[in-house]
Amino acid sequence: MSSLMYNELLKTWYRNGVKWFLIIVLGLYLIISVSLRIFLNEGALPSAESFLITSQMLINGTFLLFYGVIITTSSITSEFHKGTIKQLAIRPISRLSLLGSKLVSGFLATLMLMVVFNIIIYLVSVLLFDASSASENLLVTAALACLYQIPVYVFYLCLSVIIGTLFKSTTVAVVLFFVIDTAGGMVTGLFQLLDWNASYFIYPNLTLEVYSDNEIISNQAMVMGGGEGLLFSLTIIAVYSLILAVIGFYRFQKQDIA
Amino acid sequence: MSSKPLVVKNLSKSFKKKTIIDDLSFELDKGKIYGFLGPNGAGKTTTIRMLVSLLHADKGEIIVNGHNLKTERSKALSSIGAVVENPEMYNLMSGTQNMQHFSRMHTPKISQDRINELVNFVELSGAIDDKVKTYSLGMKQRLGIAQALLHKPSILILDEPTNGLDPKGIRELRSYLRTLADDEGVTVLVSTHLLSEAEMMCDEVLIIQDGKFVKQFSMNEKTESEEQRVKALFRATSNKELIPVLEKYGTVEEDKKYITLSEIEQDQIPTIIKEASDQGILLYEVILKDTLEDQFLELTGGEKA
Repeated sequence: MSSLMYNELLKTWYRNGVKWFLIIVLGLYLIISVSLRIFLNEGALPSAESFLITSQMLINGTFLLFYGVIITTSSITSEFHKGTIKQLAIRPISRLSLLGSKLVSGFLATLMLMVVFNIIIYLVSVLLFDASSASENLLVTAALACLYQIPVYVFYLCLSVIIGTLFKSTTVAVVLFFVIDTAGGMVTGLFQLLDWNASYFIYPNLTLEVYSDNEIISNQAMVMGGGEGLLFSLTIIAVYSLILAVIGFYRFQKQDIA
Repeated sequence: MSSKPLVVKNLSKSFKKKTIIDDLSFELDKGKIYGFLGPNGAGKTTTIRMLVSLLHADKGEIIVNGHNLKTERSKALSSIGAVVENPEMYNLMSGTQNMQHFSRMHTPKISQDRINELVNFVELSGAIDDKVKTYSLGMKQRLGIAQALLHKPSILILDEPTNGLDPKGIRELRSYLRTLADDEGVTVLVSTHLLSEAEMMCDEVLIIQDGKFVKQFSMNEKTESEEQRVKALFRATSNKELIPVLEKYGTVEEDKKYITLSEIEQDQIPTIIKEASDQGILLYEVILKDTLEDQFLELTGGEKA
């Protein structure tokens, strides 16, 4: 399994332009951060904790999540489009292992990128902005905020697997990502308007930061309809992820590769 | 346990209620090159895809070196190397990276020496560190064969391997396959639509049509038979005068250019030529039609491969 994962990470590096994603996103982030530091008045500058958490929400919660979905889905769809799936599926390796290696590698790649980005975010926040008034330790805050994001990645990457195997389309995965990410709040609001319990709906359970004791993290998180508790939300995420993964793996196991 | 490397028993496959492969059975022997022939839509590629587990058979069994592909998939596939349709590789990676990528999918571990050996075998040493996107189709085909042989399979399955190859590439491929079969005892199954290629490349030919087995025969048996019956076409100074001579030997058909004897024994030809000459009829051409193409067309009712 480890050699399969190594293969997948290698292909991700070449296929998804990871180097360019890192250069462009980090470059833009550094340019914006330095510009803010240079051009904003001292009184208008955000604090280090505010800049840290806003950066994390934007990069971890949007850019990285979106890129993780693309990495994982395209690891399946590109094999079908380019025909290389045939070269993989004729090896003496179960299809379960093949797809499993793609899911785990997508997750690992996203985590590795998360580590790189968040080290930069932390350094930029404490070096360019005022960290003296922070109510919590910023390094711990940054690490905690990442931990709350990880189960969300698991859900979206399982969603990527099912979309990759069912629709064989990265475009559908991207569209669904935006649909769930943007329309989820609207659907949850509708549930509340109708006095239905939205707790079992996935969307409100994806904002785990609300359960944090760290006020920097929980104050930034906004959620509609959730709030049954961290364990409850984690269970909901696990159940949804499991169902998606089982459908995706079953489909891949049974499908004819033409 | 059968000693045959590959045994296909009563294989069937349908798509949307249309039967593509219908109760197909055949067996392959060790160390021979088999041509897998059939008209377009006969089910060659579907069969090959089932042999390498890309498609699931509706019925029947595929036994590879005694292992049932359905119930012992990994063991069965350990004995098979294949290139299905085009030799699809990872274009952004180099030839070496592709080889290493596929080598990591096998146990026990495949050594770098084995990779180098295969790269030399398919004569790609000079370009193996270049990205595959710069390769010609012939080079990709050779890389495809090399990666299919990484784990020393006892069966090599190639689907239309001569597609896109120039005559030199085809000749090289023929040479690689012959070496594999003769020196390493690899059983090779090659689907091709080039009947002349099959004739030169293969030891035996297996013909299917409409998903059904038609015939399997040895190319050697066919060419070595001294009493082989052939169709012969004659063109003479006067075709009309030649007809009475030929009628003694069999049924005669005449068209604008040739007089055809539908079936005679090959060793009767010199006698016919002498008899015609004795009667003052000079022969410009005698064409013996006993090619694989003729047999194929006869067996499949005239449909081209």
